[in-house]
Amino acid sequence: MSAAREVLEILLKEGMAQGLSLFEGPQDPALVVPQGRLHEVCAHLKRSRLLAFEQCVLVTGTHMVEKTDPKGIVVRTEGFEVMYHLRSTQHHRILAVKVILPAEEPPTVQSVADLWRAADWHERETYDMVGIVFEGHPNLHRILLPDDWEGHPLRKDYLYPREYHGISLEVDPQWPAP
Amino acid sequence: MRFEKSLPDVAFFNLADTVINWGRASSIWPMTFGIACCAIEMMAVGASKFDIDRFGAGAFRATPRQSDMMIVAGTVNAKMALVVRRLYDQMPEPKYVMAMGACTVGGGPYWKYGYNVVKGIDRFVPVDVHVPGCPPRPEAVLEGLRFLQRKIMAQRVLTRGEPKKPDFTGVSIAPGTVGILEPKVHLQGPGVRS
Amino acid sequence: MASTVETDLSRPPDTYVDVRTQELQINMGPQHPSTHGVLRVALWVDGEIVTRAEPDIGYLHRCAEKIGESVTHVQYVPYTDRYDYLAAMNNNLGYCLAVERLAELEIPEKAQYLRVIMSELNRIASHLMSVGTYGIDIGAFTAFFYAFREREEILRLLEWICGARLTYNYIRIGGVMRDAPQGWVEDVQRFLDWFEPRMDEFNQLLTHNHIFVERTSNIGVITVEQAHDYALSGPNLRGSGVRWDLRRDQPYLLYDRFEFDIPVGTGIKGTVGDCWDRYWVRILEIGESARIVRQALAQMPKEGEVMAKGVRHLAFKPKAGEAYTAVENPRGELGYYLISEGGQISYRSRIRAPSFCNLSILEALLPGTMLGDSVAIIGSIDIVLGEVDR
Repeated sequence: MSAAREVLEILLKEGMAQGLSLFEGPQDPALVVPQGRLHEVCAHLKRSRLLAFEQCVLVTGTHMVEKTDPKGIVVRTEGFEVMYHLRSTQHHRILAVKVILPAEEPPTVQSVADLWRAADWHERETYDMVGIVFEGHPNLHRILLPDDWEGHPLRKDYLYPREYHGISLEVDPQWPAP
Repeated sequence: MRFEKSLPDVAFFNLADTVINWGRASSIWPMTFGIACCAIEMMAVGASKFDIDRFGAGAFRATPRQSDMMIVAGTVNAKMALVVRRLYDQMPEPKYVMAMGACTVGGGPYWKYGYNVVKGIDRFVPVDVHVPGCPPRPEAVLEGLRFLQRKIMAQRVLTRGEPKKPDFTGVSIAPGTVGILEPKVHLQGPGVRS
Repeated sequence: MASTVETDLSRPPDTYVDVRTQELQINMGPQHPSTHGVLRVALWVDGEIVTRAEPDIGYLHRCAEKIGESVTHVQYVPYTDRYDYLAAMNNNLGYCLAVERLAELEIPEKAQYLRVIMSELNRIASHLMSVGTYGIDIGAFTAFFYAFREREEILRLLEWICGARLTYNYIRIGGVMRDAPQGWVEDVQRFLDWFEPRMDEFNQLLTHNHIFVERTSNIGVITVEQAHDYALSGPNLRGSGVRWDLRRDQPYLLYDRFEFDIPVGTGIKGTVGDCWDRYWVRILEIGESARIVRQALAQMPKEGEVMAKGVRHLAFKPKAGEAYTAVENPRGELGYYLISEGGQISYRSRIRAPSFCNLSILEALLPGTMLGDSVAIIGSIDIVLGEVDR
């Protein structure tokens, strides 16, 4: 269970909570941080003795596509979301930090690779798969796909390629296309 | 014929083809080339319970230049396909390729939604035997090896030459060349998920 | 005949002075007997010393997360087997726990016991494989065959219960696939009695072997700060002395009912956090897993349901929400972050692979070591490329 409520209270006491809010999902609550304050808040989360989040466990990027339900209410807004999961082994906590990005091209967010080296490769993977650019990252290149691959596969409007360097990647014609 | 009857324990007469093929089939040395999960079953085939060495194929060579067979064990994706093709080209003749596992036979579980999985390695290397399974049991790999041995025994080396292999001149593996990445019509992906 | 020229040993011979060394870039390529899969490490070496190392991954990228957004939850469980193919039960378990948390399902008790037994047996098999192949990397081939002999016994037991040797798809959403057949429980106990003396034999062969100790102690030392910075987990973190294990610190399933120790590296043969320590933690964990399996077999109810009621497999829909669930894989912390919108197909399924984070430490560990030691370091991190690339 994410400790976002506890952490927000501690941040309020330590005076670092401007612009932060809580995302109350049915499962894990998440700390929502505005784009401009991410590096500052993460540096505080790492260095403060009451919080001491030494490990950056996961960085996830998601492409959000606008969705309206049959009544016309917007259920999901267009844009991108970056989730950071941080763990503190000293205080036995795990925290989910969410950054909501607008739908611009390319979506940019501050990099936390200088705080946690683990975030380095995770951010490279998020850039590779979703196309989110991390400002300040030392080496933002594709990591899982070849360097000359076009497109970002985890976007919801990604079209599958037909071939790569002459090797066909198409599904066999006798099977139905995806 | 008279010689054979008079020297039964000393001399042995047969076609040179059979002798050469018997030598080749009984000592197919594979290359250690495990890519994914099937590599673990390949290691199990090499271990003591399903010993592949009793069929002569136990000396796994690390370098392609000293091996006879390439057992491609595991999913081959776009980045890896160029490497596999280069390794295949580095092997000296006579060389054989075993496609082990469903991924190398036709894409396996990734046949539909794997955007960078090559659906079957016979798209860029000529394959001699396909062993299906996910992963194939070690006994299935041994059966594939046995099938390959029977295929080699049926070759005609001296009289008709090496069997013809398909032509793959279209595959460009030179590093740094960007292939044709501007297809006219894209295969439609899953589309915008709403 | 006495030499008239005085030999001054403090000055190097004249021939050495003019030798200029050049940094060479070599490729420890995707096809290599010691890279544990298709990993490419670009090494810059000056003579025998490595000056820079850059791991290059992606040779086994199998579009895991895109497939997670394209098939239903129940259809995705077999795909999870194939990511860390040595510990397939733990992968299944992680995904099923993540989905069950979103769906708020109650799992029956017997299914939970069976899940624990399967995870621990798979942990033993995975560690046996990793210590056996570590022996091959160092050059000791015999240890591999001994380790595989024990592993084949475990695979026989797992095949008896679920039909597959490597990619099981046994732990399903809502429970497990089927109950243990008659005679299986007794056979597991017989296996454990046969197996425990074998580990002493293995230790005599490899663990305390002088050459092995010389080649792995004081090599690849990971400090605690480095370990946290690179988010290491599992035996890599415990080898550096941090006693952190998700089975005890964030218990899932029924791990709070069992008694087991968490072995950590203490620098017996060299420094705390060297390759031998990580290897020793894995050997000790095999013993601890055997202990957990014995306790689970003793406590498991004889009769019971193995699948939760009301799980409609053909149209399974969890509730909407997002959650991160982590389990202790033999390689570290395996996490699944799922965003579900209440439909049959999840909106985002992200896998946190332990080997992905464990591998990134090579950039910091390899420079300064000799080329032969780099093979020992890569082997001690125990990566599985299926997980790294997903």
